[in-house]
Amino acid sequence: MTTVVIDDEQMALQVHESVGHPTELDRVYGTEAAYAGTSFVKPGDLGSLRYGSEHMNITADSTTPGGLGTFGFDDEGVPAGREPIVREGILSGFLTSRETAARIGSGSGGSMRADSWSRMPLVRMTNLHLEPGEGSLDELIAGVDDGVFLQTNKSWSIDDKRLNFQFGTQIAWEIKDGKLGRMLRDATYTGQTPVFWGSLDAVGGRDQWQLHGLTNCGKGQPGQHAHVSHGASPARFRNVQVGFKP
Amino acid sequence: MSALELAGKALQAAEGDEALALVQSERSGMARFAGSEVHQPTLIENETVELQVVREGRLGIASGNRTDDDGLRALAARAVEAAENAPPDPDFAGLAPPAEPARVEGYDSDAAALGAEDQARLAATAIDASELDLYGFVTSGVTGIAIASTTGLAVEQTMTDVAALALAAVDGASGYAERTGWRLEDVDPAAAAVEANEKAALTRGAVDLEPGSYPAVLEAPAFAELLAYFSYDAFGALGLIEERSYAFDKLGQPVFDERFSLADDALDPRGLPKAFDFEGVPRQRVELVQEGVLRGVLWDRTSAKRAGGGQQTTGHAPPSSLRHWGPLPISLSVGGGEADSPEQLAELIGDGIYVTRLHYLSIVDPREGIVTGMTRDGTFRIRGGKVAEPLVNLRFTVSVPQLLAELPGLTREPVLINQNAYYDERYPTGLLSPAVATARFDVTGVGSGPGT
Repeated sequence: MTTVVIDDEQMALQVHESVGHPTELDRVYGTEAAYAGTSFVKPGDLGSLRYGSEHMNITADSTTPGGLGTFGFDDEGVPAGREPIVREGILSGFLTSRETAARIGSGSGGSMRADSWSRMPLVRMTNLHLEPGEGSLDELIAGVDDGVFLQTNKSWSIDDKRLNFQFGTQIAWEIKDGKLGRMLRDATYTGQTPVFWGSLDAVGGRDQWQLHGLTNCGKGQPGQHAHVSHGASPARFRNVQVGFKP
Repeated sequence: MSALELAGKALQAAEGDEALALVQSERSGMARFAGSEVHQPTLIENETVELQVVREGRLGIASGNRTDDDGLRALAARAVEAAENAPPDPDFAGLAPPAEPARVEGYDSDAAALGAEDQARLAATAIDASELDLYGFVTSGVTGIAIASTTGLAVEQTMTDVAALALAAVDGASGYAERTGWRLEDVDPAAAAVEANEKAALTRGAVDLEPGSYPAVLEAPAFAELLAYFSYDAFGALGLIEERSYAFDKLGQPVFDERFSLADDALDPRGLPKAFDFEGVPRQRVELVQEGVLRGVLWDRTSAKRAGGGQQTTGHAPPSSLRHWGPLPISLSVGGGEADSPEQLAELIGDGIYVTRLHYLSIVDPREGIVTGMTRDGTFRIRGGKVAEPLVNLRFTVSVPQLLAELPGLTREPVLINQNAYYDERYPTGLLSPAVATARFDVTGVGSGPGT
């Protein structure tokens, strides 16, 4: 267990897998159980679930300039918008269709997307962002006595309720006394979603924030590929299980 | 108009160029259900044309589903524009010459006759047979594929597929079963639902497991998925050429348990037969592993040219959208063993874990064949040779070669496991797999419990 600083590119996938999918309200209601899975989040968790630390702010924004999930209106005709999903660590919203939003009496839909004329619209991520905090990547690293800096995704896996995840990165670096040290081979990190996000103690500032695109988000039967974007800054987490080759 | 006639018409639209036309047709239905209710039922009737135009070693590809004269002319113009703007590809081996593929099975008139009401009726038999809420689908389709080219190539196949997936689940319990075939008579959705319910009933009260290395029994769906992921990287020629696959520097070596043999055989009528690949080349059976010895990998024309030395294609070209992967296994077939059932495999290992199905696999290290993922919908402890208490879903990170290095047993009869998630154009694929017992399955963490 150690402290990790994760670059903005890997954070984009971390947001996608451990926040985006579990807050899709169709998954929460179980309708994707046969393939993509369900969610550890329940409808009654809205407004009360401690998803992460107070540094965690997640926003769904289908108006983001340049985003792959940007549109004028979704496939139910609901206009694009910007909705909080997690505010200061508390679950504040879901990704919804008009039907699922009505079931919880909250939200207005706006996340229904199909990947072609021959597929049914599903609740999908649009652009889902980790809002920036303060400071630079160097400052995040400077706050680590002993840890690991992880960059760029290599492998990814998460369970059917989006609780247990494991990610591998293309490259990693030892952090010693606030400075980068030797390169580490085949680094991976693993955790349980709310525990991991609860260990978030800093997010980099606005000037570190980058928009990243994912073009292969699979869901549905028949399967559909969604194009989505995630903006993120580098972030720092304490007490994370990390592995790498000696 | 047949698919092959349409391919010929598309070629005419590209008159004056070296060209290949690929037509894929689909008439399918998916009666999907969730919580035992109809959910996202989908009917598709479509015909796509892909036109590949070659100009001075530059390949341009365009596709669409407008099949009238104007549509095909526009398609040809787009393909030409793409070719003129593409860089020359030194690995492009040219279009395939004419060939006579083997006659294969894979078409069933009863399956082809299924319509939306039939698919819904079959789904209803599964739902009616389920005591728990049922999630899954019944799907069937008639798929045509035809390729014609200016080299004189003209091949065509029509195939059927039927599949039923049943996940019986409530809060705290879930079980899984599936059926796949190209004959309607081979797929009994109600039987899958009953099997899923029986499995789910055993999963209540799941407990954690300490991470560690355990002997394990993997049912056919679990082993098939693990093997498929490993094989994408290990048995494609591109990974071998680029020295990033497990097979690199191991051909001819005894690397697995001698009980393990693996082929890719699209001609096997027990699978979902395919006569030719996406270059129009006849598919061949390829022995990948014989009694533990790594024997070969899969080739297409592009990878064979790149390798040189007289290497020939084995008929494993992927669709153009997956060309960056190189040749792919689509009809893996594992040799059976001597056990009558997975329960007999549990007796062989005595103490370990029992895995029904896997979820969300990812390749951690292709050279070492390390794969991670989760178990789901039926994970149990094995004690005293019997399936015992249920376990929560387990995170595993395994070296597949190590897992295959000691296999105390395999079941006798491989079963066909669906490998198609029905993305893009329908092209039914499956994997013939037995259940296996392995001496080593590395559990690295625990996740959520079974159920919704």
